[in-house]
Formats: sequence, structure tokens, C-alpha cells
Amino acid sequence: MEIGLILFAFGISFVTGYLLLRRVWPAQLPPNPLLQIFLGAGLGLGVSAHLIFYTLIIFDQLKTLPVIGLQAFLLILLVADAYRSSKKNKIKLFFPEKVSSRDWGLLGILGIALIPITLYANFYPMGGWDAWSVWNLKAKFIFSGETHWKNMLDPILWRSSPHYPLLLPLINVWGWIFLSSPATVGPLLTSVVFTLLTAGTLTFGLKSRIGHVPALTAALFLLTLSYFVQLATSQYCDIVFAYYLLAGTICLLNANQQKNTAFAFLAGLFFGFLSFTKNEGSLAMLLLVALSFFYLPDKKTWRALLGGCVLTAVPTLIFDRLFSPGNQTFVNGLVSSAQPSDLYRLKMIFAFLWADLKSHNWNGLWAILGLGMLLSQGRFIRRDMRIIPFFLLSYLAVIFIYYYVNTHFKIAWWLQVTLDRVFVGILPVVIFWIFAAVWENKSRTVTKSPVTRKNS
Amino acid sequence: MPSLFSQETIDFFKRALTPQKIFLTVLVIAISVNAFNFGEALQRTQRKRKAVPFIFYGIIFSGLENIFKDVKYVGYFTDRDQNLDETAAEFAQAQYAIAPTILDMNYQKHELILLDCTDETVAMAKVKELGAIPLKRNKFGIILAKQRKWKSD
Repeated sequence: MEIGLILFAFGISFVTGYLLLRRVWPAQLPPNPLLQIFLGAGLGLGVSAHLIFYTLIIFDQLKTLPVIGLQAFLLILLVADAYRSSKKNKIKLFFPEKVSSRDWGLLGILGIALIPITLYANFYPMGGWDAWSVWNLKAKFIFSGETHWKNMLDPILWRSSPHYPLLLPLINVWGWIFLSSPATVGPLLTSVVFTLLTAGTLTFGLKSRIGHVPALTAALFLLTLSYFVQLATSQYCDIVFAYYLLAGTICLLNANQQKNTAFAFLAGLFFGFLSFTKNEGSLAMLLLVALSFFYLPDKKTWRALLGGCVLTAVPTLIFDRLFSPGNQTFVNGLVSSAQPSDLYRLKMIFAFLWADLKSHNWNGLWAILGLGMLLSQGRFIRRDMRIIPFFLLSYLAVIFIYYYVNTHFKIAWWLQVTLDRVFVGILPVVIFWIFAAVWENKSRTVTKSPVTRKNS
Repeated sequence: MPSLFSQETIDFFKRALTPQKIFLTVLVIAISVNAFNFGEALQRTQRKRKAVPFIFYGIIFSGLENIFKDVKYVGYFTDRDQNLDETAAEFAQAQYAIAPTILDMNYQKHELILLDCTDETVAMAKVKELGAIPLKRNKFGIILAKQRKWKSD
């Protein structure tokens, strides 16, 4: 019963997101119905989380009725609009474009791959340490705390990173919205759903570029790696980060290739959600928006990206300015004499990085991706893809500088518990990038959609 | 100089050894190895779970959250080594169980204290030392005490 009600809540978000996405998805582009579903699902979950955040501020506590009411209102509005436009344009309400049997095959294989992943997740029903200590704890404060929900921001709870933003806890709260108590299975389902959404977005994002077989290989390469599955289903925020980064990047590449403002706007929406996942998400968003300024073909497209970004980054800004108690675990090693950023720390970071990349946990994944880079014959830095390596380099550089400067934690322990999670966050984008570089010989050309959606 | 291989052989290898095919072959091998390892990891975890079922330590605090309604802080005392990861994990799970009330390791600062000790006699000795009154003991041996001489900050 609990599982059914949680999936029902998620289902509402998926439909909402799908319909929202169809309002924005450019009509002149080749339809990719299953990619639309995977992108729409994440968009919808983000919207549901934002709705809870705004009502939380207005009522100073979680009020389920207004949340459900607002969500239902939005859904009805979108269904009515979709119905009206489907009548007008004489197209089907859902799946107006044909899904090929090979696409259904891909979806089926993803579904089968999900079975062992769900089994694995079920062995750890409470998730990993940071699940109960950070993410699910925040969700429980919001769900059960009534007017005391803000207790979670107390600096006493520094171990629970009270300065971290709330997208994942709010998505978990949305999952519990039809329940009377915060069921353990909720966050577990969230982690499995985001693992599926990430794999689906990767598969169908790649499929339209490089074909079915390589796209499926990419997804299986990710989903069969037990270490990835372990981290993805630990109920941490890294898989949520990975999803929004990947979804936004795919839209950004399309925006550039098609000179399309609608895709740029979508990319912006996803990057805004990304900023509400973790503090690293805000960093990633800022870097991507800044790099897009030089990457996107014109100012108009960039402004569309910025518009989408602003729209979904408002909760991040509100949280950061009005609620966050600030980082309680920061010591500036550059000025601290007690805990200085010394040469040992720097050496340790590089030594650990090298040891980690070749660790058996990854089963040679980074070496294989390196081989892919070589086999791409330089296409991994081609013009239309260049933003990805620039982003990854600048993002990792800032992360490593932060490891060096913040001396609050002992570096060996800190790297041990967090570095792999940083890698999990960027891994789907790295796989997308390398696979596209190996298989995609030339930039895509725009083909007309068989169905012209005038309403888009 | 005559070539070691005929032109047909060279053409065949050129066609067969495209970068994409080489990469795909490596990937198929990697996926097979990964899938095998994943299967083993699943079986290993399943065996482990059969031998020792999953235990969430926070469960021994369940039910207490109802007593703490409208209480913002509760002190937390344990006689376990706080430097151990296991103790830190137990504390984090206890915090999860009694949320939205905040558990504070600085237990002396708070009127209500949860005593989570290895032995109940240790807990009672601590209650006596603090001059506190034991209010409740749950079935897992967790004792809730109230400090008599406590003053709000």
C-alpha cells in the first residue's frame, strides 16, 4: 500500500513534468518520445519539490492539502491544455509520435536491468550513512517537524550538513505526501527511480545521436558496475545530481546544435534544479551558465538558458539567503596556523586521486573511458562538445582546490568518504561525452518532425 | 617489397578494426565482467543478510519521539567510545529516530537526557551523578532522565 501511494505521487509528478516538457520541446526537432518521458519525469519531480518548498515558506510547516491541491491544479491545467491542443492539431494526447519497436526493446532491457538494482537497494533499506544522517533526516524534519522543521538548520547538527540544499529531501517528502508517516521505502524508491531516470536519459539521449546498440552499451556499462549501483542506491543526493547534470547537458548540446532557445530554456531549468541538490550543484550551475555564454551560438539562446535557470534556482537562492546556517565545517587552511593547507595535503590529494581512479571498485572504468578518448581520434574536444571537458576540468579543479583549502577534515578520511561520490555525480555525463565522441562522426543535422506541434 | 598480407586481408582488418568496433568489443567484455561481479556482490550480500538481518540501531529509540513533542533539544549520553565510527553511526541513527527533536552530545546543557549505555547500571550511576530523575526506560534499556538543577540559558 505504502509503495503504491509513493509511486502514485511520483506518477503525478511524471505526468506533470511530461506535459510541461511537451509545452517547451521544440516542434521542429525530431521527436524522441522516450527521452521526453525521462526528462519530463525529472522535471516533474523537481516541480513537485519546489511546490513543497514554497508552501513550506508560506505556512511555515508542511501542509499536505495545499501541496496536493496546487499539484492537482497544475496537472489539470496541463491536461486541459494538452487536450485542447491535441484536438486543435488532431494529434494524440499522449505519445503523439511513434515509438519504434527497438526503442521499446531498449526500455525493456533497462527495465530488466532495474530488477537486480532494486534487489540490491532492498538489502540496505535505510541506505548509507549520509542517508540517515543527512538527506532522509532533513526529509523527516520537514515531514514530521510541523513548525519545528527549521530545527534541522541548527548549527548543532553540523554533522548533518545543515547548509546543504533541500531538493532530495523535498522529493522524498513528496513521495510520502499521501502517507501518515515517513515510510523507509520512500527514499529507497527515490534512489531507484533516479537511477532509472539517469540510465534512461543516458540511453535515449545517446540513441538519437549514435544509434541503439552503442546507447544501450553505455547504459549497461553504467548499470552493471556494482560500485555505481551501490552509491546510486545509497539514498544519497549524488544520483540526483548526476541526473540533473546529464539532463541539462543533453539539452544544452541540443540548444547549441539546433540554435534553439527552447532547448536552452530546458537546459536552464535542469541546471536550476541542479543547484538545489547540493552545494556542488550551485557550483556546477554557475560554471555551466558562465561557459554557455561562450558556447551557445547567440545571446538570445543564452538568455533563454539564463531565464530557465533563474526560474528554478529561486529556491536555492531563498534557502541560501534566508535559511542556511552557513557551512559549519569550514576552516580556511590558507590563513589558519592551527590547521594549515600544507604540501602534505596537496600530495595526499593527488596520490589519493590516482589510487582511486585505478581502484578495483571502478573495475577499470576510467581506463576504458580513457581508451574511448583515444579511439575518438580527438573528437572528444570537437567544437560542439567542447563545453563538457571545459566544464569537467573547471568543476574538478574547484572541488580539488576546496579539498586543499578547507582543512576542517583530515584529508585522507574526507577523500575516502566523498571523492567517489563526486565521480558518481559526473560519471553519466562523462560516459555520454565519450560515447558521443567515439561514435558520432559529424554534427547532427536537423530533420523535420513528422508531426508539427504548433502549440510548442 | 611484397607485402606480408594480401590487399583483401588488409581491407578486411581495416573494416573490422574500426575505433567503434574496438571500443564496443572492450565494452562488451567489461560489461560481462561487471555483470558477473555484480551478480556475485548480490549473492554475497544476500548470504550476509540471511546470516545477520539488517538492523537499524535507531529503532531502539522509536516511540520516544512522541514524548519529545515540542521539545527542541535532548541531551545524549553514552559510555561508548565516541571516536569509533560505530558509535558515531549509532548517534546519527538515534538522531534520525527522534527527529525533529535535536540530540546534543553536550548533554549537561539540557533538561532532558537520553542515556544509551552498554550497561543499565552505568546509566543509573550517571543519572545519580547528575542528580537527575529517571523518567522512562524503554524495552531496549534506553533511559530518559530529567535534570533537577537544570536552568534554561
